Amino acid sequence: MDITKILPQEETFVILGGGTAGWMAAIKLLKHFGKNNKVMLVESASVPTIGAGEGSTPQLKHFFDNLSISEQEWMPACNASYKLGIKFEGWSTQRGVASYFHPFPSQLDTKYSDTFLQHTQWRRKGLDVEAHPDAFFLNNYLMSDGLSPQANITFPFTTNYGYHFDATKLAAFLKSKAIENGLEYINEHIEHVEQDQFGNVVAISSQQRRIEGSHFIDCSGFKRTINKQAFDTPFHSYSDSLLNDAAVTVSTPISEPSINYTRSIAMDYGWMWQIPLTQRVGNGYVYSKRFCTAEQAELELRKKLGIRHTQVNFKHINMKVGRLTEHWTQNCLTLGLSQGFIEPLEATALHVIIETLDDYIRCISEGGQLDSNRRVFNTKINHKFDSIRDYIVAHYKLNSNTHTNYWSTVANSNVLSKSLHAVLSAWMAGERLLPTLKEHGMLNAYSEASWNCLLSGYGIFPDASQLKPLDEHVNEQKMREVTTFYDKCAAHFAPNSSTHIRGSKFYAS
Amino acid sequence: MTSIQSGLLAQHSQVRRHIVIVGGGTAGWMAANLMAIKWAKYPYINISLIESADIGIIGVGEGSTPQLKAFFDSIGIADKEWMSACNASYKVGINFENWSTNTNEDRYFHPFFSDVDRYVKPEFDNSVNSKRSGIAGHLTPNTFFLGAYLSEQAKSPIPSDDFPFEVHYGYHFDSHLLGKFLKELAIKRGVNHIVATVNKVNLNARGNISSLTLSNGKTRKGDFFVDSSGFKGLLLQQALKVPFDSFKSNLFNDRAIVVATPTMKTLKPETRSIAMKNGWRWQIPLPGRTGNGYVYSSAHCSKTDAEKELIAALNLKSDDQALRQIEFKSGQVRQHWSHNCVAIGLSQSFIEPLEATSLDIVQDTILNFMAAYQTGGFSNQNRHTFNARTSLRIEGVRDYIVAHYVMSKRRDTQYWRDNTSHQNWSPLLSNLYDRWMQNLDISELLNKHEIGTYFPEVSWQCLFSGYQVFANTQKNISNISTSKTFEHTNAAVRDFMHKCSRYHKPHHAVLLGA
Repeated sequence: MDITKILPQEETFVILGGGTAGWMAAIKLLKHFGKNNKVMLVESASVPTIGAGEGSTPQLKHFFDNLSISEQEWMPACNASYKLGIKFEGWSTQRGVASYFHPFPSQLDTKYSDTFLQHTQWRRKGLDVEAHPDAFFLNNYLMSDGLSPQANITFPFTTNYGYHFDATKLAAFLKSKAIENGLEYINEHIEHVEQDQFGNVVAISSQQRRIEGSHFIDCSGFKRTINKQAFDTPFHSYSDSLLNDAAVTVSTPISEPSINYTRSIAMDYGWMWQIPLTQRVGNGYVYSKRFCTAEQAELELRKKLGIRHTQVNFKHINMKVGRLTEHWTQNCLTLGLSQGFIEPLEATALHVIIETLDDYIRCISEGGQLDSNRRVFNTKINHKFDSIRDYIVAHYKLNSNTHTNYWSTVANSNVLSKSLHAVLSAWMAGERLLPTLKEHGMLNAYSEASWNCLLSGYGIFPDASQLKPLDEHVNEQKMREVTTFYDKCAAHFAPNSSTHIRGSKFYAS
Repeated sequence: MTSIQSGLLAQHSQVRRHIVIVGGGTAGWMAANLMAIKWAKYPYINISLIESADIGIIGVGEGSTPQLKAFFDSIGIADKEWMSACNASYKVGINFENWSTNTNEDRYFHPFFSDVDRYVKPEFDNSVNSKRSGIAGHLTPNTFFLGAYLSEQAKSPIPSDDFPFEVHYGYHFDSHLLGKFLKELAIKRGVNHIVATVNKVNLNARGNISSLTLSNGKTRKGDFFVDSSGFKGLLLQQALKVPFDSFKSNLFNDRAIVVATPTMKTLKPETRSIAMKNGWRWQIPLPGRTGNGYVYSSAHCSKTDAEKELIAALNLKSDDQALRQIEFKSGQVRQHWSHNCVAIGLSQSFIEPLEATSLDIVQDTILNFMAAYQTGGFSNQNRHTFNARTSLRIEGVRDYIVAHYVMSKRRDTQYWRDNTSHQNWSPLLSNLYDRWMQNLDISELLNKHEIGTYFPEVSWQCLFSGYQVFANTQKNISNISTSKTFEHTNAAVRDFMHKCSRYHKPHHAVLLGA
């Protein structure tokens, strides 16, 4: 969709809210409709942004690639680093799985993806074969060897990666880009929403100013200013299956050598992220207030980070998990935190924003604001949210920690969606997961490989003592072949320390 | 070892079995080697091979597919152990020239598929499907397969140590030397070698072969016989009276003239297959010589004319060359396994070596036979399924070869006019062609007919696109954005392939062990 769509007449897109979602929307809408239409962003300088989302999936790379914004340009501006995946530590007490890596996929992984799936299936059927996901994905080898996701230019293969970044700086970067590209920026504190007789939003206003528009994008965060006043769309809560509802965050100095993955470490009442940026490390403890107080959480995080008596700024955040039942109503799109929130365990927030935006732009380009378009759109986004939710819930359901009541409560919870229940049943029955994932339309969020990573990463297998030897020779020989392959692949990737950004003197862009 | 196998072993361990192979050509010695290795765990099986000192072998098969690599892998022989002994070189595919329009641009590569090809397979599929739906744009299969790049640059399929992918390759070799190598190996591995001519095949009351009367006066008894006696078909066709079904209605060629020429300066890892006035000729680059052969139809061209054409094509002096004439008939036996005898190699079927499939069929037949025979407790139990499957596969190969002729746009000689005007297409080939032209899926059809084993969908895509066989070619939908897409895709794929090919050393250097 690189051809600027000419809408019937000049129309005005009004975005409310200058967080990451708002600025992403601004820059995308400018690219697609900016030539003949007006794009405005209204933010209240007095309202702070949440700005805790610091990790992304490869979707953010596509976002910048589509906008032709190079890594050399945006990454330094946002203290950004590469992210190969997420390492889950201490989520399982099963033998041999103290941690596992959920990698972003590489095209190189396809060579042995069938072997991995075959092995997890054999293992479930009681054969003693290697089924730990770490052996089967390139990014895990890059991670272990301290390598970046950038291959030497003579090597014709690539891998997927995401980023870590300073969310506030990212918003500022996108803002400057948007303004450069003709965005009309308005600093007003919006209080009132005006609708016409059909319910379409026609204007939003502060005490001083009325701003008219033909399309409205509500990126006002948890407040959901436009949507609340105009439609008050029902909120579908996930709190029955996802108990975490608060987070405490803090920055610490960068450590050497730098790592290029997110750490997700199980804590007493939730989990902690650790995200290495170029200038600092972002840390956050996501927990459930039902099991621990904000003070307890902060103390546990302090201890964990070894900063028990250090003077640092902790930031406490409340979270409301769930999604709207409808994201696009009449002429108003709700985007970002205002449309829904899932804890950042798999760093999916920006991913959902980008996909929502892409779909929205496609609908507007193709057919305008038809009811049927919106229905399909809303169903799709809802489904996306629910599929991600299932994957997150699986982490809790499958954990085997017992050291606090929190962990046993989440493991024993039976609040599982039908689709998650089906996936877990298929796994237990020793089946391949693909048919079930297809049947329940779950491939919109996580691949068969990702589900296998998760389930084998938590060691959901028959007890090791009950395993029958397959043919040790066959397993060993196969695994030698697999690791040799990945070692050879990994040798073509640059050390993480040599360059953070593609385009340095070693690696031409 | 599974419990089924141990059960069989126990069940039959008291009964000694004599397997007698007749014929010491490549097929016979391949069978001997496979049986010697795979049945080594059954000590009660005794394997003998009888070959005549007087009867020569045909020995013109000089090219293989990657199946031959699988064969050597399965008998535990590395490239370096046999290749130099057999004057062998690597082969990554076949270059077809002048088959479609007989113009300068008329060439395409039919590669063996490499690991890395899968990364551009979606692009190949897209391009092929665009062409099938009538969109204009340049498409040649050569763009999408690493083999074509390696061949073009005379590189070996063996990658440098730091490249993580393998190329599937076959070989060119001197088949006399290969036969000798396999013979010595099999004897070393316990195969009983008998030099004698079979004078008489003795049948018992049930019609089974009970023994062979040999020229040395002895009689050789056997429980099971493998007929690898060549075109003669001594056991299966002559003694057991199994008829031979000819393929001459759609494969006209029945003669070949072969001649060796000096080693080529550049050893490309490819067989050249060049269409001629009355057939086609191969050019096979070995390190010690170049093998050439003109396969033609005696109904369309005299021996003298064929020789003249070959001599001209090779720039030879007409008098001092040892041209060898070979006669053959294309077809297959009606049952490959009858009573207690299975036929392999030339005694089982012959299809001209256009795709170098003869050793594939030999191996496939032996292995399938061994599996069936073993599963049936060394009885005739699985004979019927085996026969049906073998015939189906051979017909599949036949159909792929026939397609090379019937898809041609050449009309310059009676030979080509006859090849392109007859209606003797198998139902499968007709069906396949119709589906191709209607832009319908062909993979399911191919799999159903077992043809996918040798020539899967991608081979047909290569052939059809190599010949530029597309519907709507007259009214190609041309627009700037699609042809740009074609160019863009082609450029990206070429870049990828060139990068991959840089990890491969020159063919020469690898053969010399440098």
